[in-house]
Amino acid sequence: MDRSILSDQRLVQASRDFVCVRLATYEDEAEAEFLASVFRGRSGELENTVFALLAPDGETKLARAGRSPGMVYGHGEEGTRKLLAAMKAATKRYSGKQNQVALPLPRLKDLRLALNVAACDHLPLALVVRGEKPDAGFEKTLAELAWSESLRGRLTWAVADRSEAKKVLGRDFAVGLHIVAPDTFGLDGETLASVESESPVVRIEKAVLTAVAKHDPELLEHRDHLRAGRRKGKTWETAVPVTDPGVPPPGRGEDRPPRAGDRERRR
Amino acid sequence: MLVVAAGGFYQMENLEMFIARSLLPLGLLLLCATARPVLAQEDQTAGREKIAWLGIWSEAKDVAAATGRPIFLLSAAPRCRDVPGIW
Repeated sequence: MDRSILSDQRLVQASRDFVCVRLATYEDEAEAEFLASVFRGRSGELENTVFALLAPDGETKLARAGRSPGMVYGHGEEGTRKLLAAMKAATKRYSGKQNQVALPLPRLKDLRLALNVAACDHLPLALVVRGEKPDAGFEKTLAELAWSESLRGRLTWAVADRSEAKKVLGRDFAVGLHIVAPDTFGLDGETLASVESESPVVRIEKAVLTAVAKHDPELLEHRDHLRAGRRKGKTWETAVPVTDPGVPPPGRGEDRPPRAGDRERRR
Repeated sequence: MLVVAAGGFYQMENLEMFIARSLLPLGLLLLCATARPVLAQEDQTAGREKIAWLGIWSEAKDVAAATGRPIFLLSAAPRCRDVPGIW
């Protein structure tokens, strides 16, 4: 992923006028089909990454789509400037409606995926554990918190019932909000804080902010992460088959010595 | 016996005063010197905002339709060579 450009503060500010959506490739059949309709690489198949600026209808491309902002607009300062110009043109054309819209909780589709994505982003996971029925008032409060200036973009969110939470994290969770520090590989996690759904908003916010400040993830270099993951047998099974041509068929290419350019081709 | 230290002359019998008036400020100075880079790093990251992503396409599409805002779409695989926890 094109991390340097995505953390550019000019881009972050420009993104506030957009609906920003980051999907997990190969983790949902319908989304994979949609992504393939937006961009297919030379292979003619859905590849690991997709980038596009779209109109509010979700279909009209405002510019050429590609694998990344860098592929479409170029890299470095010049690429960033071109992307910012394209974003400015898009917001000029679609300035948005004046009506206030309640934004949904920025969750991922399930807890297993959210835990992994939280690890990828080095962020804590905010896990909302539901009882038999969703608590609409509590989840509305959390959605407002998630989009508040102090917390937006600082957590990965997931909603699960108690059985899903136990299945993924291996322990019981009470109904409420739990801030979880994912392990390095996003397959397990340690609870940093928990608050009940009846808690006052101020208490929830304080607990979340404290946990976010406490979160101290292990940061490994890309190569070290892969090496450690393989050594420890940490693997991930995608929801739909991977079609990126950089991925060799099962059993092929895994044991041969690395070649120059491997990392780029196979990521 | 007299000891020369920052702040004046001290008799060895008065060791507590020696530590309090000489070594303690030195320790604090060292603590500040080592803490400053860490604090500076925190300051650099504390003010840095991040893109706030929605994570489900159908929800993003609904929000875009309701707000009339354009969409910044990105997709990435949360694994590399089948190892999770890395983009």
